[in-house]
Amino acid sequence: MLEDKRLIWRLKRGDSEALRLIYEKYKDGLLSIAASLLHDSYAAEDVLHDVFVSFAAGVGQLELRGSLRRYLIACIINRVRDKFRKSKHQVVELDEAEMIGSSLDEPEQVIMFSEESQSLANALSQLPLEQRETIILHLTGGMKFKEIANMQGLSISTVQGRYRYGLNKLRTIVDGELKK
Amino acid sequence: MNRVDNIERAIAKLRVTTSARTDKRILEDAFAALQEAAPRKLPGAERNIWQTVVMGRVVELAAIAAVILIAFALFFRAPAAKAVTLRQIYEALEKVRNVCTSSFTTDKEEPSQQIWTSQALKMILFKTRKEGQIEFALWDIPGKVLKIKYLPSGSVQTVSASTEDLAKVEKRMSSAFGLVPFSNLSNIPEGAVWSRVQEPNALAIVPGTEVYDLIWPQKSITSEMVIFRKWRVFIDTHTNLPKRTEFYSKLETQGDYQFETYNVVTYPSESEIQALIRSTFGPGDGSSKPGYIGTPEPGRGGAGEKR
Repeated sequence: MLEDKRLIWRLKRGDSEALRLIYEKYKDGLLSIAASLLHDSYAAEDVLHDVFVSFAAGVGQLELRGSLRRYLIACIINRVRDKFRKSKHQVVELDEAEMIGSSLDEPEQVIMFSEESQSLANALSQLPLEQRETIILHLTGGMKFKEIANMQGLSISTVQGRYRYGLNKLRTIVDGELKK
Repeated sequence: MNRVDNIERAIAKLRVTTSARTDKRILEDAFAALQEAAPRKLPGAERNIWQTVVMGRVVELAAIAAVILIAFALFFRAPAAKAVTLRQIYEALEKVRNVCTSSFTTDKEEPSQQIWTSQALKMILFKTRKEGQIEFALWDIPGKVLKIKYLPSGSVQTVSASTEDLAKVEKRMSSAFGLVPFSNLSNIPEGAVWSRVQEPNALAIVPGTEVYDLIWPQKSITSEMVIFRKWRVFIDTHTNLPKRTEFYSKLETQGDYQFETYNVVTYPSESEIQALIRSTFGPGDGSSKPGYIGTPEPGRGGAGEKR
């Protein structure tokens, strides 16, 4: 944490090496979260890109209260939510989104997980976003339920409930896949 | 992997890594953003006490003077023209038969998508940029077909359009061309606010227009939070028709709206759209007849390219 504070201090003075060090330290963890949530490698990389570019542009005003890692995870979550929000942008576009160009049946992009993780990633993508988000933040992001609750503006019991329901649903999906 | 704890362990191990190419792209853009931000934000830290006190005082006095001048200007100027209402915009759009919308994201100079809608021809033509290629998709309601052409390959497909898809196309046409966030006035949610924008920067974007914001709250689909959406529209002062629209949003906990996309709107004639369809798909189109005549020669390109 102290190391991060030092890096931020350097970064605020325009030190690009500090930016590179922060990027190297957190990029894979953040990309894993984005990719697990979006199930789309291109979109996950775009999210990572946007988060770091905004972070670099706005670091002058950054007043970090918690850890840098939590802050960057929160940025990733906000961008992922934006992606989902944009897909349901406006009433008129709801229909339009399905009809855009000719792509009524757009093939799903393949995620870049290893082969053995692919079936699990597929199963995760079938969960509602709020359950998926809770599971990924807890397990992949290493966040405590209390931290997730604070980030999402929810009670701890709601977060725990989402986690439990999500995991049970995931087990059902994975079991169903194995029986096939 | 049929036990919950095994699943938990497996998810915790889900890891992906960035490619060298991605790292390069992200770092280059982030360094550029850092450099761009630095001259604006950092000089303050380098100032000495004299500069801080004296320059701060000068700026403060200048700001007070500016406020007084603006107040005078507002007080003595001629009464403002009556504001355009949302109803007037819907009414103006009802009289229009053909529209072209070009959608842009903030980071691209070329439109990500262009849509030509013709109520007169009962056709919609989409031009979409996707991963290095351009796709033209023509929904022809009278012909009940969808025609697709890809560039640069120039390959063309013609397929029958389902009744359901054609209904969606018709609905879009009758919903103010998809130019406004709500298909009709009665769909605008309670709590929505319509207001005129007076910011000089906004007014300078499209000359000859008045600028308005429609802001409404919307419940998030992913959490309990409320999202505020803002639709900014630049209205032609003579016709009450939109010339540009912008979309913003913010979470209730955020201070500033985030700019998302913008659309540039033009109103082509029926013959212009017919010509565009003909030059894209060949002379057999641009009419309600489904008969498609051959693949256009390579290199002929879409007429949209010429615009």
